[in-house]
Amino acid sequence: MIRKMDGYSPLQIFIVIFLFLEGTAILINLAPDLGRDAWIATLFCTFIGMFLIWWFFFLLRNTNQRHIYAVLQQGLGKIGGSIVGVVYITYFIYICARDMRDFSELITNAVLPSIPLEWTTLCFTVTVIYVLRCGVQNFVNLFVLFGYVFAAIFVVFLVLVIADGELDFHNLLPIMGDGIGPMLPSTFTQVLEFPFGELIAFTAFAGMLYPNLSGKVMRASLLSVLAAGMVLTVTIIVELVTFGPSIRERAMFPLVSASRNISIGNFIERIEMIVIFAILLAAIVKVCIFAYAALQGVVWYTGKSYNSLIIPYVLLTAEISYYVSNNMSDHIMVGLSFVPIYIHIPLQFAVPAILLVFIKMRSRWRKRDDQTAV
Amino acid sequence: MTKPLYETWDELEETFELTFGKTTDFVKVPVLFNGRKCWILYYSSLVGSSELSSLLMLPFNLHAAKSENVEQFRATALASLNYMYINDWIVIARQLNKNSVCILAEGEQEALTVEIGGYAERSISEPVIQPSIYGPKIAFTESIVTNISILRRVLRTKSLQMESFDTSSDMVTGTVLVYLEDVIEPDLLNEAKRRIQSLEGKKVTTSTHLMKELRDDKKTNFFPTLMVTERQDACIAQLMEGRAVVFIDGSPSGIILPAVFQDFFRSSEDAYLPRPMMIFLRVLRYCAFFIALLLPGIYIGVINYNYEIIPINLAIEIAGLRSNLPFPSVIELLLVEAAFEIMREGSIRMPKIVGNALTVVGALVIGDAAVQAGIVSIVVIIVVAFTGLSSYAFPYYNFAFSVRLLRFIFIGVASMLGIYGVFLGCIILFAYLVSQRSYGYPYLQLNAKRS
Amino acid sequence: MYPFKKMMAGLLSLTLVALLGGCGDRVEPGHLLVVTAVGVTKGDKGKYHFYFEGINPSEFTETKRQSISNSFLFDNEADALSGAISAISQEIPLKPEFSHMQLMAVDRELLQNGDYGYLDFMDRFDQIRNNLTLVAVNGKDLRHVFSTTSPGLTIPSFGILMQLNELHEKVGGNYPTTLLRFMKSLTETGSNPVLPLVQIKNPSEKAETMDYAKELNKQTSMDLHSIAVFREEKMVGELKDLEARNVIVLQNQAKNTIYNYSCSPNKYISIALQYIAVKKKVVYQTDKPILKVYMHATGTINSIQCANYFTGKSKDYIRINKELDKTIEKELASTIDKVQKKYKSDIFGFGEKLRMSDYKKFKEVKDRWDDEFAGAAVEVVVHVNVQRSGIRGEPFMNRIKNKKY
Repeated sequence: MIRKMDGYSPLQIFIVIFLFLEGTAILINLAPDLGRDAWIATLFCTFIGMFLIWWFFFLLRNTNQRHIYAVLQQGLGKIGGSIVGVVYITYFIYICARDMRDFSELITNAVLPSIPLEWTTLCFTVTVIYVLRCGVQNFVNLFVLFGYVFAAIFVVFLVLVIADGELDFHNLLPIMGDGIGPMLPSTFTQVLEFPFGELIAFTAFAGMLYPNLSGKVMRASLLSVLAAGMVLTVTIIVELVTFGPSIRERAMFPLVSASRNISIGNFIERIEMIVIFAILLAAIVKVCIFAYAALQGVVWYTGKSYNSLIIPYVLLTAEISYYVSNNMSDHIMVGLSFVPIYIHIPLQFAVPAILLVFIKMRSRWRKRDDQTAV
Repeated sequence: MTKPLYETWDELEETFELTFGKTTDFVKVPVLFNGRKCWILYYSSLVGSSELSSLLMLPFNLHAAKSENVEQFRATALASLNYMYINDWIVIARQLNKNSVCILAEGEQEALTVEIGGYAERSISEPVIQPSIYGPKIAFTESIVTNISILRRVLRTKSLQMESFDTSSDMVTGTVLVYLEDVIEPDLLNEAKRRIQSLEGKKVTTSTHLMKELRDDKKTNFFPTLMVTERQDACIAQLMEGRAVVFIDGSPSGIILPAVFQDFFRSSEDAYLPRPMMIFLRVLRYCAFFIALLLPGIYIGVINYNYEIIPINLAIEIAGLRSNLPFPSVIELLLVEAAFEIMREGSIRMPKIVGNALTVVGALVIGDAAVQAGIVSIVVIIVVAFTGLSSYAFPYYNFAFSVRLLRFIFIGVASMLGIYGVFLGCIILFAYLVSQRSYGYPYLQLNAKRS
Repeated sequence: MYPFKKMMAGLLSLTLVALLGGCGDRVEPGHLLVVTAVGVTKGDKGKYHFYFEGINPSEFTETKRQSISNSFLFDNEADALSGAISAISQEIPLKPEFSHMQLMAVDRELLQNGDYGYLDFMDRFDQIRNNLTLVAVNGKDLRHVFSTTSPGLTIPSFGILMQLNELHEKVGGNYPTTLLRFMKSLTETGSNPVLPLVQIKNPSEKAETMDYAKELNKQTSMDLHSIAVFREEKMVGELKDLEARNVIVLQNQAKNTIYNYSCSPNKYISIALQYIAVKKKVVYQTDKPILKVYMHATGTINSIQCANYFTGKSKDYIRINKELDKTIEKELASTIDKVQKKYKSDIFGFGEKLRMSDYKKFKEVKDRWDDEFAGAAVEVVVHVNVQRSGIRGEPFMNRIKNKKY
């Protein structure tokens, strides 16, 4: 039987959040300075990430607003809310540009070294524009398809890695040899903000797709963060057991390098293109979600039509992605040290926390006012 | 008030010439009906002579003398035939074009038309385009009545409903919308009716024209959103799933609407197979789809951009085969693809007797000679042949066209961006498929449950 | 007009794509020089002398074979590998393709000096495969190694790799060390690297022609039975034949191997071992580490030269087990001892074991681990379970003197 499928199901938010979290986190070197214990940090942050998504969605549910821009206005007043809202739009575009750059760097470094970076970015951008122009209903459906393909590729990858047999689980030992202390700074300033804190982007539109964010949707989102964290953890473990912490630390794209290690029967070799395909799917999801989150804000503030905004804004993002850093190391260093502390922490944790406090206080005042009035 | 059929009896012959022209297959026979003057009119090309004599002339000789008027004669002698009383020449002409005979007696203001039929018609034959081993050996014919009879012989239920529409300008060639009223969704039915109704008077007389008008015409369609079948079992399966079938006079196939992507991988044959085999065949067809679509593109991407993917022994082999060839790989591939497509197109138009011989000879001569002469490498021949074979694996012929077209786009993208381009192309293709709708149904049905 | 405009827009954008993209990375397989191996020695003019082995691909096809050599060797002197590569491009009209490089042979002298200037390119360059195999070669042999074919295989580097793989699978000999594994041992604490050492037996000019494949009596051959031992990053010496095999067993890399022991003077029993599992452990007692090795394996009797030693009964199996255990224990202990005394280098990975079991202690001794290792006591426990004796029970020698029928 054929179905109409219009509308949004918990499965869709599950897959979209999952792919969003995989996005570029699976591609770049997550927590390289933690060596053997990078996976523990990721696992730990997964649970905090579950709390984060609950908190972000709680913000929407509690205020009965459809998106964070409205919540901002409710919490900080019309002018303050608009200013912070524009900051959020800029933030989403900036992160979107960074993710685009991450992926384009991968293509330039590992697949097409002689093709200029602008050009790979442009091709990627055209794809993103096309996907965004399909409309939210369609691209969410498309991402469900991506989710299946991603899962299939990941399973095939794991099977091949295990079949290859060049795994040395001793690379993981000793677990937390230096104790938990040295791990904490990088865990809280890197892994928690990227990728888990970036879930803030969902507050820009989740309420429009799922008007009341029912229990089922919340459960799907929490499970999704859990699943994504598990996949990230497994990926880091695979990277560690295939070539140890010293090579992983130096690797630009450790998952791609790990997939190169597979050689079965001298025939299945260099399967990195398949892995890059999976990464591409996740990267498109991430870039699209960030772009959509920013566009939602622009649409809400300016009242212009969504379709007319896509091309200028995504092209702008592509342009930013080209100028966002001078070289690869600059890009990585800014991503690991500057962005988390000065951009991620205020916008992912501070503002939502302040909002929550403001809204609580206001509702309490209102209640008190109501009571005094009575 | 309409004009009467005639003022005086004698001017009728002029009226005939005015209405029907000088066409030679128009027959007017003056007879005597119970002593009155009477005309019998029909097209000899639409009414068979034996049917005419047995159904009309014989009763006429027996009963006409005893009847007081035409109605009495019809009621006693022609009771089993469809009839109509008409007082307008245009309508009479239309009825005559629908295999009827007109009887006009002096003194009556309305002419009687009775449907006789009996012109030569193709009998029901086996399906040719979509043959099947276990399925029923019945294919639709060019006649709507026969086709509906073929359907109703299996679906003997009152819920099998049909509605006729006059889509051609002369109001003769008919279109019939068939559906099961208790299964079909009202939205779909209304949408289908609306679209067919909007065609009335647009001179739609052929199946292809009808299809062109029925599909969503806002966007360029790379993939068919309607399905054409000549098989009874396929039609019945689709009807029972809540879809509608459209027949048009003179076309031996039913148009099923809506059709989604997955339908083109389902053969009516599947119903007669055990489930594991069916799943195997489906998976095989999906593989064939991706091979037919992507293999040449991936070949170009791998050969020209990602040479490291090939295992070393094969890599050396390919490098050896490609050495000293005059063309770049892309041009070479396009040449062989073009040769293959031309050969395929040529062999379809070829008379059947020479056709087979020519395809084999063409393939052998062109392929082998090109390799021997060192113009193309054998790897390309293998790739193109495999791709070509894969595009024959779909049960529905028109689906392969879209794949053949898109393949060239993928070759183009791959020649500029390698496998990365193929990946991006795939994503755009699937985004296109997901956003495509067929009568409001998503073209790509994903098993996302509704909350 | 509308569809025409659309088509024109499409065509225009395709042209733009073609012009902007520039097809920068396009390669044509017909114009590729597939480089399968590279060799490095010390150079006279440049810093290094590079040897490249290129494939002549048309020899591998049915139709285009010209019956000339299957591979050819060319060399270059340059300060860095990339310089040598650009120098090849000036000499040869083909584009060198490095993505299928399988073997890198490094001169012993460079390794002894700890000179790795040529290796970073391999680590960094995206085309290079992760399973690029590294071997050490005696300097003067390097040219011969790349021009001497092995029986049945017409490309020298393929011959070396096949031989290494066969040795590893069948007799527990040298194994192919990939670049990544070598780098890992170099950059991580706990074990020092080893490399297979390739030598040529009886190098001759004749063996370097294609006609040599037609010779029946092949004098020249590759010798892959030695391993190069490293301390820190420098090669300090080599271990030959059985000692090399023992090192590989101790590294837990051996899958199958054969151990002999003498049952009476100048007569031997040889046992094929399978399912070899070696566990290593380091325990500190006071300030001195004790290296503990526990080995378990399953054996099959391959041949018995002594008469009346084995009758196929269970107690004979137990006797063989015990004798074999003792022999292997002695051999392994003496190999460890030799490495401790002669090279003072932990090539077995004891340090890694200490890191896993006692990280605190390891951090303390990490920087002087090789010296700690050299002074350590050794305990080897071997347990071999000989389970079967092939398709015969008692050996025929028992019945020559003692005829029953």
